[in-house]
Amino acid sequence: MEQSWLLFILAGALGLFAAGALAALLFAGNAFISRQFAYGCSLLANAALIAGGILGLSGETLTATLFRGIFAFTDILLRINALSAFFLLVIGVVGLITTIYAIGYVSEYGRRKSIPLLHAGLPVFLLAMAGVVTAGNIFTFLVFWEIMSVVSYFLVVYEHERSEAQKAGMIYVVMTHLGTLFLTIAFFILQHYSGSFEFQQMGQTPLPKPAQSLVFIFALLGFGTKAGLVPLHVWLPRAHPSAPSHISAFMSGVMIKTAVYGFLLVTMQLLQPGPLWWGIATVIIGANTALFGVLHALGEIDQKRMLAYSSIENMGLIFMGIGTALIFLAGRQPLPASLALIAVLYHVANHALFKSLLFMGTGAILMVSHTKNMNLLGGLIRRMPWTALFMLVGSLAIAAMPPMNGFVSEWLLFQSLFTLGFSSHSIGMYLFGVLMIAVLALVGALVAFLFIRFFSMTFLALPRSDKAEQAVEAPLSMRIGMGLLTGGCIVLGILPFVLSGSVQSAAEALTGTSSALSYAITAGTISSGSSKAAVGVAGLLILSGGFVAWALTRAIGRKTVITRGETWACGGTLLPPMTYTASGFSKPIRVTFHLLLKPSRRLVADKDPQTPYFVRGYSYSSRIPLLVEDLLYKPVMSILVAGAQLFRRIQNGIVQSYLLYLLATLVIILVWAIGRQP
Amino acid sequence: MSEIYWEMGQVVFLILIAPLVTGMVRKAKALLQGRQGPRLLQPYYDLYKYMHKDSVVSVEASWIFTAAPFVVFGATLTAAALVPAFVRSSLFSFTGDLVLLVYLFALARFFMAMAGVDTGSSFGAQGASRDLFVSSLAEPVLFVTLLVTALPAGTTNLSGIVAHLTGKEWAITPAYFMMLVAFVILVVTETGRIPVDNPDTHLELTMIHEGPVLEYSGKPLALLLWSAWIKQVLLFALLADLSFPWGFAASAGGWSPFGSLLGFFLKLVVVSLIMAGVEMSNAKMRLFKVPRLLTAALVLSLFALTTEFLL
Repeated sequence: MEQSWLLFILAGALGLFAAGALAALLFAGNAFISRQFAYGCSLLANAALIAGGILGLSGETLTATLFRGIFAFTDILLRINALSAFFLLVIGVVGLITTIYAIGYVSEYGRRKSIPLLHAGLPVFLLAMAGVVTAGNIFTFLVFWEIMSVVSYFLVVYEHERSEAQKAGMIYVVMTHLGTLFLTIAFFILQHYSGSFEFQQMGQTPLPKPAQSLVFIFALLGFGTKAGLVPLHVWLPRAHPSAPSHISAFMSGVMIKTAVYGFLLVTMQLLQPGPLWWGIATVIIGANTALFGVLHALGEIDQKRMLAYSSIENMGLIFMGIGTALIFLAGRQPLPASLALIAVLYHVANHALFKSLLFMGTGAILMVSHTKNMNLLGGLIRRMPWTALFMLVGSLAIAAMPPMNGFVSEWLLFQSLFTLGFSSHSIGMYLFGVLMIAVLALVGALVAFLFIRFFSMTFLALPRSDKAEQAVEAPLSMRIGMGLLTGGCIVLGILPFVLSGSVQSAAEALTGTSSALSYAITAGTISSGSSKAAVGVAGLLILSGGFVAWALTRAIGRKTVITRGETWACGGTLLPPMTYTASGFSKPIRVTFHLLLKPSRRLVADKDPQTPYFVRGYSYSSRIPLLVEDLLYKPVMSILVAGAQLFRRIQNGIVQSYLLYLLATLVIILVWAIGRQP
Repeated sequence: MSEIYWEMGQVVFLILIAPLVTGMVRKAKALLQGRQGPRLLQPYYDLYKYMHKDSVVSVEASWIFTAAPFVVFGATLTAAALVPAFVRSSLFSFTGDLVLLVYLFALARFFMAMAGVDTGSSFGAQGASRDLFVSSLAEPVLFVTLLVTALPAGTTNLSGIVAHLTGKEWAITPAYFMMLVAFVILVVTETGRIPVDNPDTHLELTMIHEGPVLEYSGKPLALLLWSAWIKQVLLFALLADLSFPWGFAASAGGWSPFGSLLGFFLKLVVVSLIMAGVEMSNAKMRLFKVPRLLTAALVLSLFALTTEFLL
């Protein structure tokens, strides 16, 4: 009974998304009706996704054919298990809230002619993501995967009049198709050995060892491109910031998570446990990505690019967790593997919440101040008090500060790496675990630096430009959207058991064991007592500690009289140019990591022509080069271009020579065919 | 049941003794420099004085500036309940471990840094930036160093680690010395002492931790200073836990609580003297040389881990 409901709900949600998009285009002449249909349908469909996700978590694996294709393998086949239900839940929750936010945000684009396209893009994007995580065969997966990529491409180039957006879109579309190419290869190797196009059957047949590793490598490349793993990340810091902010929130918060789903699906459900190096490679790539992402984020002054780099960093952490799970699975240790997967999935949900929240906040700032440059902002906490509060919670959460949700998943990741260290019997693995903990700690501390910088330079001190000075609070629907996500970050931090059940059933779908958390408690890595309540207790403790502090200030001495005075500025008046900028704030990092970042700076003094001793002003610019692009992609590109130049010579536009080519080809084929005859 | 009273007493003791420890370090430094120095109890008088003063708040400051001292104190107080000092277990050991401890310090730093920027003062932002820089590099080293004891114990719970250390047949291993040197470097870094930072200066070129505090006055200042001192005593206690892991009171066959209290106090005196000695025998180093010092600590910890595994 429940099972048929689930598929009904899912099909209904997909249908609603499609209907919303169609209606938005059909009524394109009337922006108002178009908007009502697109967002109304999206809201309903997302609610259905949430319901479907909750139902699906507890259930068995279900499959149903939505449409029959011309060939058997082109059926649109849906499949739900606990893992896909978990991702459905994440998509539904973030989708619902982002839709609410978008209602206010799209008014920013109010006078554009193409606004119905933007309205229609949102439900199609959601439809594709929900389709990817519920696909039951290769065809369905790839179809939805491509829809997702193409729709997001159009959304990235929505502001197509900017050359920056065009370039971002171009790089994105090339990279994402490269990724799809790898995926297609991986899937067809799987199909070749299992003889089936359906995921359900693929999981049953073990592959020969070399083929298995080949599938793993192609899946890592294919999904790694979507996830933004270094060095396949080049599209991400360009494409995510170019899209309208609510779409950026989706791309960073949810779309790249479909790569996590796909990677888990292939490596843990479709393949049998593989050799140890899979896990080690994944952890190293993840650690490298995390460190790279956060260091580049610290070099950015554009808010949305900074957040995009931070998404790369978070995907790095997630892949570190997946790699840890793969290491344990290779050693046939499903319990600690499950613990690592719980960390991964918890982080997937957390990152979906706080990254979309942060993108929404920068969207709000962009909308009212028309700038993303942190050096030009400042002092917004007085002009946008609500947005500031939401961004503070988002920053605390992403920096993994207790008692926010980020801390829970960071702590679980620590624990799984710790288990890796202490449960191993080889010195290599032991030191590997320790080093990875060190990387995690370094990344964690740098992320805290990054988001203190983000919050302080945007919201605190004095406004450093007119743009910051004219800012006003964001519209209500955007504040509601951000407020809901803020609430989510706090609830998942203080009451982790809200989510831990769902996470556990999703991890169970991958490893077949359900007692990872209790395992960790008995193994002693997690403190005794109720681990589920643990972090929540920490939140209460900090609150009560703050209360003690307040009580102390009340109890001792008389009531404080607070005088407002000016900030000490060495005897002068404090002016905005005297305050710290985002560039200056992260300077120590640029200096220390100059070997990795290779920053360059230019300081030009505008001297008085009469005398060299008086300087009228300085202009300063600093730049962090895109080393991966320069060293890896540019050479490949130039080889490709050189090759193309070579072929251009034979394409000379003269019909006669083309006929000659035809004749020559024919002759060569005939000679070859005759030569092959016995 | 009496266990829990002692655990509560431990937290109260740590909080109350924190100013005295600062006084001891200052006095020892002064004596080593041939000065008479401030009185041993001067930090208590300072707190008392600040608590009775009014407060001046910058016109540019927002509610972050007002809230920060409470968050900092709250986080530090929670951290105090996680560290075993003279009783083997700590009050909140059921909920927290060393990861939580490190992140509570990070939470305090988060708000301190924001408050530093909030007034618009360049000193505050400069101090915040430097503090974050140094601590981002110190945090991985701190984790690795703590792992030297946590990995053999098989737990990240501090009470568990201390139980493991006290339970083991006492043998001074090479790992012990390397870990100790690394941990002293970290304590020096985290408490803002020479050669990393100078706690006695307000010169803008050298100031790290003092920068964000600069605009505070009155009761909020008292809270912030006290928090910093509590953090210092917690790190000293950790150092004492790791370097002299004996003399803990425990329900099953430990010292009597009063005896171990006295023992802990003596350990604090020794650690304070070591710190004063380190500060006296070094010069402040350039900010961008700090990473080298921390790298040295990291390498020492990694060696310690390797020998711990092999021996």
